[in-house]
Amino acid sequence: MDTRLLLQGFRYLDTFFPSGGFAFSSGLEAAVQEGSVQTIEDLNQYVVDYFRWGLGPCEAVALAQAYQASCRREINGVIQTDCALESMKLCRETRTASRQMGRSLLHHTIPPQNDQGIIEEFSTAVSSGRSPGHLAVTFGIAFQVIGWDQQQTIAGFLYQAGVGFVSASYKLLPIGQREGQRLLESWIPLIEELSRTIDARMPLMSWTPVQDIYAMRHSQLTSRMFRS
Amino acid sequence: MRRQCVPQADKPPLPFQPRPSPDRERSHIQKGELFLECAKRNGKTVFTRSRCSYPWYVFQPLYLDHTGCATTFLTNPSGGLAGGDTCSLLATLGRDSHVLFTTPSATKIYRTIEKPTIQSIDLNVGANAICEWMPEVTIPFAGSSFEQTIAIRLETGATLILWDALAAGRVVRGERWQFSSFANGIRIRLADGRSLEERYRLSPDRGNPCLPLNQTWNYTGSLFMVNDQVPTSTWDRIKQDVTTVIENQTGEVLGGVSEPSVPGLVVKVLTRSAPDLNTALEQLWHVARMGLWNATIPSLRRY
Repeated sequence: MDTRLLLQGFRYLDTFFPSGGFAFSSGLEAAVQEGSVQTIEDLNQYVVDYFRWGLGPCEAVALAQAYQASCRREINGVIQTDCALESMKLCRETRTASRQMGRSLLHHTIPPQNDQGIIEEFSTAVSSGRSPGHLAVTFGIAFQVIGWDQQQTIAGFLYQAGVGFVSASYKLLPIGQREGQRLLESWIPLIEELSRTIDARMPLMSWTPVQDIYAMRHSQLTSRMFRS
Repeated sequence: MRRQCVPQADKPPLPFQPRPSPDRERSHIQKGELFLECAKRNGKTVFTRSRCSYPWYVFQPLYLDHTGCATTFLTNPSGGLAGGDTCSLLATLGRDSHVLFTTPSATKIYRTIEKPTIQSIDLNVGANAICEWMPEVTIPFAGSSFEQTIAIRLETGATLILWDALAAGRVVRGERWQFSSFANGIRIRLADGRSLEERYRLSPDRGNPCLPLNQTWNYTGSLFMVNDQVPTSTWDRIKQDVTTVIENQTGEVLGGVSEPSVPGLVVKVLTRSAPDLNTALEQLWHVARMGLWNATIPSLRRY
């Protein structure tokens, strides 16, 4: 990849970027507090299941669809994917988190000179309420406009999600930097596989009942560090 | 075997008209179709037109309480569904009508070596009508392959209570997550175009999607409650009651409730045993009915 394109993408993948991802745990906090996730092995299983049966076949497919629609400059295709993702997100907390992070990314994205206006069009659709503005969809458009290819974009999206889980786990579990790095390293083959095999023609699917339930239960916790 | 339940010569042709099917006669494969039209007459819901073909069998409605709700048991006398079977159901609930669809027992999906079993459900729910879709759990046997789609369209003010539950297999004989594939798609669409969807495909042979966190959950269920006219305060109250029900479960149950993308609630439940699942469902359904209509659940007298 061209170094300039690489650095353009890093601006939005860096945890320094204020997308707000640090505030959400995708149900992990509830799973830890209720004892389902207590060890690094539990955490690994929780995240791998989430990658393989939730983030991959649902969010990353939505990202791919938005990416392809953005390539064709079809704003209606982007909105359609965004609305489809909205209808698939059954848990309010998860849905809200995705919308907040997506809108934050959209707000801060600075399109390059060659952008033909898809980001502005999508931003208008989101602000007018025609489109929810989910993170996966915004991510797909933003990185397509920057110039990353679809596989790299999906990999970046999933990697960022993995970093978010590790970051949350530092606060929730007795896990150090070394274990965190080992987890991230162990997820790279799965991220690579998903980014290579996911196709925009797939339907959105999700099967993460445990993670969904803990995300639903999160709002019932008596003390919370995260918003989901 | 084809059964014309209520012929009506002066109305447009029914969907699923009988048609010659030489292939089917030479095969064990079943292609069942069920069509139902319902309307509210004199305070109770009646079936104005219906047609069904094997393996579907629809009984005349039962009235199990004072509400005028028509309860019907969707019966499959063959005992289960085999590979290649295709079952379709199309029901139209007229304005203000109220129908409770249920099944007398679990839906069993038998092992197949070729084609999957396909079931498609289409429900059109008229303005201010009520549709309760409360089948027993689906049990996919080892080696089975099942594809289900449930599409529901709700007019303004229509209410839906939908339960969809999956067993890991024939659990009591130790058969868990051994089916070949299980695909499920539920789509609930409101009059204004908003929708809610649950869609997944499980293929235990390829990786393991079914053993979340290595725990031995054997049953999973989703309960959807949707109505675009019910006040938010009512949903908040029902949500609180659902939370209480979940927290007070004495069996091994993990559950949660949240607001989906359309007005209403969605409840997800995991249990280790069928009795735990049934207990949770009865209490959740009771809470939903009480919160929406101040009505208790009917006694379905299955056992």
